[in-house]
Amino acid sequence: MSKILEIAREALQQMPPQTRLRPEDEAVIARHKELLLSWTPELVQGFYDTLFAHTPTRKVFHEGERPAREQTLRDWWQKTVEGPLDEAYFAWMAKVGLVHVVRGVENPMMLAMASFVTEFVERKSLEAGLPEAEALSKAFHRLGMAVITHGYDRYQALALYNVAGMEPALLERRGPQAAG
Amino acid sequence: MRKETLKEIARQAIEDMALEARFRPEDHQVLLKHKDRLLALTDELVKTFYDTLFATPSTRKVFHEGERPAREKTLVDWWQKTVEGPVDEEYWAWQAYVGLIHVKRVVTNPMMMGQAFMIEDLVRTHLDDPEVAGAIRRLMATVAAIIAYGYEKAQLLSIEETTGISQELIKTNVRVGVEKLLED
Repeated sequence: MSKILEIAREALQQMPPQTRLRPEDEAVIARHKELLLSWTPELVQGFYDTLFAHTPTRKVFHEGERPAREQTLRDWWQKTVEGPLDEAYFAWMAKVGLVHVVRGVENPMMLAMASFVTEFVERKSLEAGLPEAEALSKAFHRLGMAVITHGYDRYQALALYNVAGMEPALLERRGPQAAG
Repeated sequence: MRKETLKEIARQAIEDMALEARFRPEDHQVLLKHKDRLLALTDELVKTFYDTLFATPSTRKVFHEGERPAREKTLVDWWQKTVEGPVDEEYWAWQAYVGLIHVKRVVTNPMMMGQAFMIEDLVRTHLDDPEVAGAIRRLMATVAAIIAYGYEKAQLLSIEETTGISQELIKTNVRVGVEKLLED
């Protein structure tokens, strides 16, 4: 876990501070906690309807897996809204990014869904006539970028495991197959 | 790299994106409708973009001494071409090429993501219009997806070329490695 945390930190440090999640973003999310939580069923439904309606993303899922995945999204939303959005939260996000690699989720798929969540929050905030709709939308936008950035550990992982770390052993093991 | 390969990288990235998040032809009509106001943002966009990059040690390191004017010019060109169009297959292939250049210049995807956010945020701050907001969101999501995918593809292609191991096998190896990392 400490290695994941380390690469997560490194990824975040590469983002200019102006574009990172700020304390005021976390604060505006906290102020709207109850309302954001009340949107959970609609968010979860929309998120997976979108994924299941699209062939490349539907292929990621096993038969009958949807309820379990919906629960993970529900957990993520609750943890995100309730906070704290601290180092432990982003270490978790880094791990989630790696789980996506294992499941063969491509980066364009993740980027599209980050955009989906941002758009959802923006639309719901405007519909609700929230005075802080813009600040709340922007907070989720920044959060989405931060989450995705941690998801990008996949590249670090690729570099680590294919070039530096265990790759020589894998090369020996898989090389002849590749050549054949 | 051949133009056809770049087009294919862009096609694959777009295909992976949920339809709702992709840039649509009507989004470009929106950009054209607001063309003058969007192009009037060029100077500020370019200044903010590079001020941000030069103020952050990790991103400042990417640049050579005296390179800023040339890089500013490429952003001016990108913005102008994006707003004026056409946003077609050639345009998306160009974004895939940007992903490749990023590998060469050691610009990581987190750096790119931050800047994509910055552009979207700046446009939305100046043009408070829901139509523009949707179009610019889908534009930046699509551009970011292609650049990120192009980046990954460039790495895979170069490893494939130097080791002779197929991309699919490299991806499998990465998955095996990551699974192990998650178990630790």
